[in-house]
Amino acid sequence: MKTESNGGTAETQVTQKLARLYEVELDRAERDFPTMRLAALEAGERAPRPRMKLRLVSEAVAIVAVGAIVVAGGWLAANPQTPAGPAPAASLQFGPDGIPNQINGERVYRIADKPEWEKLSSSFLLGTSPYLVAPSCFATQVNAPSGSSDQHLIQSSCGTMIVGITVAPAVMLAPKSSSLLQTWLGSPVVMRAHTHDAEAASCAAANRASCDASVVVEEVVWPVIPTQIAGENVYRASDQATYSTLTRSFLLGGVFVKPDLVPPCPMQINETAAEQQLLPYCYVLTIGGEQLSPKSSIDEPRGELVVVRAHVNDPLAADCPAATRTACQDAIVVDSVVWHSDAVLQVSPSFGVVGPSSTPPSNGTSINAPGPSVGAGGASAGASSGTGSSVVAPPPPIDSPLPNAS
Amino acid sequence: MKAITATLDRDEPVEPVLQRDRAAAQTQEWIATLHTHGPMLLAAARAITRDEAEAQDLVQTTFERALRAAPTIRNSLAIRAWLLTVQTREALRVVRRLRRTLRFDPTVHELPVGGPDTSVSLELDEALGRLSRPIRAAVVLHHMVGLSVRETASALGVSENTAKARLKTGLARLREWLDED
Repeated sequence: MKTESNGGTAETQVTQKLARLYEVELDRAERDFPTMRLAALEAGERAPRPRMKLRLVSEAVAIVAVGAIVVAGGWLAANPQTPAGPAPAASLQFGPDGIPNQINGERVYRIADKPEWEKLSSSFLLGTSPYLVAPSCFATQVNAPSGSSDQHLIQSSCGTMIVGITVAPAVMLAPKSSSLLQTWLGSPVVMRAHTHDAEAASCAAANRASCDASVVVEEVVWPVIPTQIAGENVYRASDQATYSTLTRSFLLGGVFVKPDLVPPCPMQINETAAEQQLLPYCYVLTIGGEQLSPKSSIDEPRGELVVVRAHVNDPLAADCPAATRTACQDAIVVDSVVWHSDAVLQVSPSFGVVGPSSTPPSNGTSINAPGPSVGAGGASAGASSGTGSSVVAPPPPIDSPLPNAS
Repeated sequence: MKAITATLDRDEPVEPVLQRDRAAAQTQEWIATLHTHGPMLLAAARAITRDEAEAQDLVQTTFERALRAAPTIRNSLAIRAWLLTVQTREALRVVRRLRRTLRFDPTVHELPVGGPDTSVSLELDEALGRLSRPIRAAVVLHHMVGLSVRETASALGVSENTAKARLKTGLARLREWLDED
């Protein structure tokens, strides 16, 4: 044992050894890193963590579903006069993968059902968890001109580091539609998709079979958010042209995304206080891809579906310099969260099975089910968050950062 | 221009295509940035987890999260610390969660070889493996990867004082164990 007097020297020696060890480890990592990813791609293996995660999700789903049924049962027993509303979400039948087996009577296929869905001439529901294929050379390389149908439908990425999204080792999504799933990576979703895309006819003859088999995603249909709350329309990010002109507050729904860690932001000495409050400059919070102003009042778990009450044309915009005034006026300021639901499972005795957007993308094929309204009790203007999960505790957020690792 | 022409031929609106191209370009730029940090992440993950499969898994998870967060990160100087934070928290969280239901099988940690003082590395590596994961993570991030104490505390999700205490404990134990050997 060293004495205290030479403890400092000994610790210095240890830190020097640690630094040398790291150099060796780094050398090894530099050799292994590319190989690691290529090997994973060539083997078409899915990473073990997502499977683990899926298992955890499934367990959480099962636990919460049981809890929801118990709570719902108790709630219904205590409220026998409650008029029949939309079918509660808890009635959704989930598979062991945490994904509904049916939505509004329509079967939700799984990847393993490929022999069935790949033959379908119409669109179908496909439930799975999309994963990102790390940038590198994909097994299937296509030499096709930029912007060609071949590139839209089948990946052509070797050396160009284009991101691909896969839903199974052998099922890549068509690049032209995979961006729809960017915010759902690692989470179970049900997507409406089709094969035999019309664009396949434009592919080169050598690629046509691959193009024809390509899975094109039209939209994500589960999980989704309410179309209305207490009779008030819930706008989507794609409705920006409409809500940006509103002088009153409005409801905006979508997936809330924030950084896993909010970095310390340097002072912006060249920006006015109004700009700093309205214009993102260091990190960005988004709903449905639309940036929110730093002034926004929202602190939800990352990846959660939310409906917020928000406004544009904030009075502070008047204090922005002329050069940025328009941007300040367009800034979306969240006043409050009026509805949120765990992205994995939407269960609540007071909510119905939430349907697709009331303003679906024009290229989308929506489920023929109206999005139910949420009861007025949970949707008054400026209502506090948690109207749904106050009834049923949501499963533990899978993607939220550790509040404290100690 | 080529993309626009092709788009017009298909009677699709131009703006969405431009947006898509812009987004794709940004994504590629972001991926290239991430790529440069890959070895550092892998080395840190190996040192923290002591398990090759878990380390690779951790790096993949970190990449996945980073790619999802692509539009939300602007401060390039903070990317390294941010990536390590995501990875470290994930490393600590996974263990915390799995401990509830699973028991890890002992795994063999692949030791770095070929260095000038391999025997020292082996002893140190073994000693490092005896530290608890939160303490080891602190030591790895600060003394090996080179994060500041503040960044290390942030990555661990603890106060600076707690991080300092972990670092002090970690170094003291390493010193003790190395002396024993």
